[in-house]
Amino acid sequence: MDTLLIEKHVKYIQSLGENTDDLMYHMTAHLRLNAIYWGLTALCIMGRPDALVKEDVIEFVMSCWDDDEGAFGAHPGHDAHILPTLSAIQILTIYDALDRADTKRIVTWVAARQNPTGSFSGDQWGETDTRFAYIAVQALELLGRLDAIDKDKAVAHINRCKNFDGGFGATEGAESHAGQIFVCTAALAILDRLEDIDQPTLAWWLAERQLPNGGLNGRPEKLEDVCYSFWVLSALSILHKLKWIDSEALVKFILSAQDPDGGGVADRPGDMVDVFHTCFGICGLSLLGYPGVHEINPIYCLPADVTRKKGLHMDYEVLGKDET
Amino acid sequence: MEFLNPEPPYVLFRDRPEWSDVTPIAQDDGPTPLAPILYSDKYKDATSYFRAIYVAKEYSPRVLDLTLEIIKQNASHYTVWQYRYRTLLALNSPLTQELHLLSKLLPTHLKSYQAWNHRRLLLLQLGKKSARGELAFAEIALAKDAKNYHTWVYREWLLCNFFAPAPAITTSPAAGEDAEPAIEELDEDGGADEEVWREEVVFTDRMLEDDVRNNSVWHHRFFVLFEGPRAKQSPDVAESEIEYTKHKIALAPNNASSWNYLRGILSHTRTPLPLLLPFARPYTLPQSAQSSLRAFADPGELPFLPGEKAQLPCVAALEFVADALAEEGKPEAGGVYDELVQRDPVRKQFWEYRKRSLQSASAPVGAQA
Repeated sequence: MDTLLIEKHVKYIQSLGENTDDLMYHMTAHLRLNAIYWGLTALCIMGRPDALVKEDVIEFVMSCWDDDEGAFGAHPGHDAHILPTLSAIQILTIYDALDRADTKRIVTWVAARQNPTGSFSGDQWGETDTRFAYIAVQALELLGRLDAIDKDKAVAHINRCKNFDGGFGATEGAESHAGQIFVCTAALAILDRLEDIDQPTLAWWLAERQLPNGGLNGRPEKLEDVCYSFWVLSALSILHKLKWIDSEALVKFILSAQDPDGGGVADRPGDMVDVFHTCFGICGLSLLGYPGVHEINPIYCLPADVTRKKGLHMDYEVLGKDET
Repeated sequence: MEFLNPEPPYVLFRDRPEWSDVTPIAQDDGPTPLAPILYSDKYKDATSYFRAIYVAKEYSPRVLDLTLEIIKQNASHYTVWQYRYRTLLALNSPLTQELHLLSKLLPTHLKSYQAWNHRRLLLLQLGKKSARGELAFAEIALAKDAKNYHTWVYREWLLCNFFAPAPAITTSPAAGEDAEPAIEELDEDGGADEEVWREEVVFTDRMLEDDVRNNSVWHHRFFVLFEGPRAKQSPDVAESEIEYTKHKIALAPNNASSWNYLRGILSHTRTPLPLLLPFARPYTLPQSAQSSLRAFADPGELPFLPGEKAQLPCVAALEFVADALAEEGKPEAGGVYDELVQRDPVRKQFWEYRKRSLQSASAPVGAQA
C-alpha cells in the first residue's frame, strides 16, 4: 500500500451510519457526534465534503441538543457534555450553519465549565482535564466569544500542567502525553500565549516520539499508534519543527495501517479500522504535505479553508509548503 | 466451561416483573428491525428502559440495577454513570458499598474515563478517611496495567487532594478568595501526610523493580520528589536521586525514561550537564572497549559502568554527551552529533539541526532554526 486509498475511505465513512442495527453502532452512541465530526473532517481533507448529506448531518446535530442544559449531548437523549458540544460547533462551522444553534446559550454553558482555579470540567459533574480547556477555548473562539472566560486563569492552569520534560499532562502532576500536549499547545496558540511553552525542550520531546518503524508513540517506551501521527505532528507544526520528523517513514507507516478492502485506517497495521484513526491518519498525511489531500489547520483540526474564511489563527507549518 | 462458574441466566428487563409498569423508549434514530444477535438485544432492551426512567426522572433502587447492567455492557455511557450517581445521592445509598462494587468493575474498564470519574465523585463524598485505602486500590489496578494513564491521574489526584498541605497545588496563586473550597480540613495531621508521600517513593521503587522502562513511574517519582506539594527542595534529594538513576541506567542503558529523569533533575536543580560526563561517556563506547574500562575503574565506579549485555553505544548517552559538550561550547560536540545521524537516522534532521546551532554561538537546545 503505497498510496492513500481515497475512494475506499470515502465509502467506509459513508457506510458508518448505515447499519444502525449493528451493536457497535449502539455501543458507540456516546461518541456519535464526535464520530460525525471525525468523518466529515476526513472527507473535507480528502476533497469530498459532499460525500455526506449536509442537511441530514445538520438535522442529526440539532437532534442532539439538550435543551435543559443548553449544550449538545453525543446522541439524542444523552446529557450535555463539552466534547460533543465542540463537535457540534465544528460541524456547523464547516457547513457554515452556526445560525442554526442557540449560540448564546452555548457560550454561557461552556463558560460555566471553567472552575475558579482556571481549569475546565467536561460537564456539570466536574471531571477536569486539559482536553476540556482546549475544547472550551476552541468552541468559544469559533463562536467569537473568547472574552466569556478568564483567559489568564486558563493559561495559568495549563502552565501548571507542564512537566519537567517540557510536555503537558491531563491534570496537575500528570505525566506528559502527546494527546495532552496537542491540546495544551493548540489552546495556548489560540490564546496567543505560545511563548509560555518551553519550546526547545517540548519540540525535542516530540521528535523523540518517532520509532525506527516510522510510527510515533504518545509517551516514551510505549507502542506506536496512527493517532499520534496527528497529535505529535500538530504540536510540532504549531512550533514550526515538523522537519525533525522523518516524514517519508511516517507516511509509509500511516499508509500501511489502511484496510485495502473495506477502507478506513487502524491504530497500526493489521488492526481493526475506526473513524477516529481514519481521521487522524489522513490529517497527519495532510501536515506531511501528502499530494492530493487538502490542508488541515492543526490548531483547530479543521480544514484550512474553513479557518481562513473565518479569520482564525493560521500560524503553523505544513511540509512542502512555504519552503524557504 | 461455564458450568464451573454458574451464573443465573440473564433476564431481559422487558421480562422482569418489577419493570412491567414501565414502557421502554427505543432509540429514536430510525427504524430498528429485529436484532440480529442476542447481545445486541440485551443492550437495546436495557437502554430502552433507561430512556424511560430518564424521561420520567425516576430515582429508585431498581434504577441502580438497571444502570449497573448497562455499565457492565458499556462502561463509556457517561449519561448512565451520571444518572447512577444522582440516584445514589437521592437514595442516600451507602457509598462505601458502591466503592466496593466499583473496585470489582474497574479492573475490566481501566480505560473508562467515566468509571474513574465516578470513583472520584465517591471519594469526594467519602472524604479523607477512605483515601489511604484508595492508594492501595490504585496499586492493584496498576498491577493489571502499569502504564494506565487514568490510574496514575487518579493516584496523583488522591495525593494532592487528601495529603497535600493546606493550600493544595490545585489552587492558583492568583485565585485568592475564590479558590475552590477545601473538601475538608486537609492538614490536621501533617506528619502522617508526610509519611504518605515518603511511602510513595518506596512505591515507585517497587514499580521500577518490576519495569525500569515504565515512564509513568519515573514521572510520578519526579512529581513526588521535586514538583509535588510536599517536595523538598534540598540538594541531598537531588544528589541521591542522581545516584539512584545512574544505577538504573546501568541496568538498562537504552531507556529514554531514566535518561529523561536524569536530565529533569539536572535542569530542575540547575546542575550543569558536563558534571555527569564521566558517568555518560562509557555508554558512548562500544562493548569491545568496556573490559578495559572495567579493569581500570575505581571499585566505587564499577556499579555505574554498562553491563556486559548492554547494547552499546547507547543513543541516549551519545545525546547526553553531545549536549554536555555543546553546553561547554566544545567543538567536539559536532562529531558526536555526526555519530547520532549514523546511529539514529530517523532523527537525522534533528541532529543536523543541533550541529548547525553549535556554530551559531552557544545556542541552547532547540533554539530557533
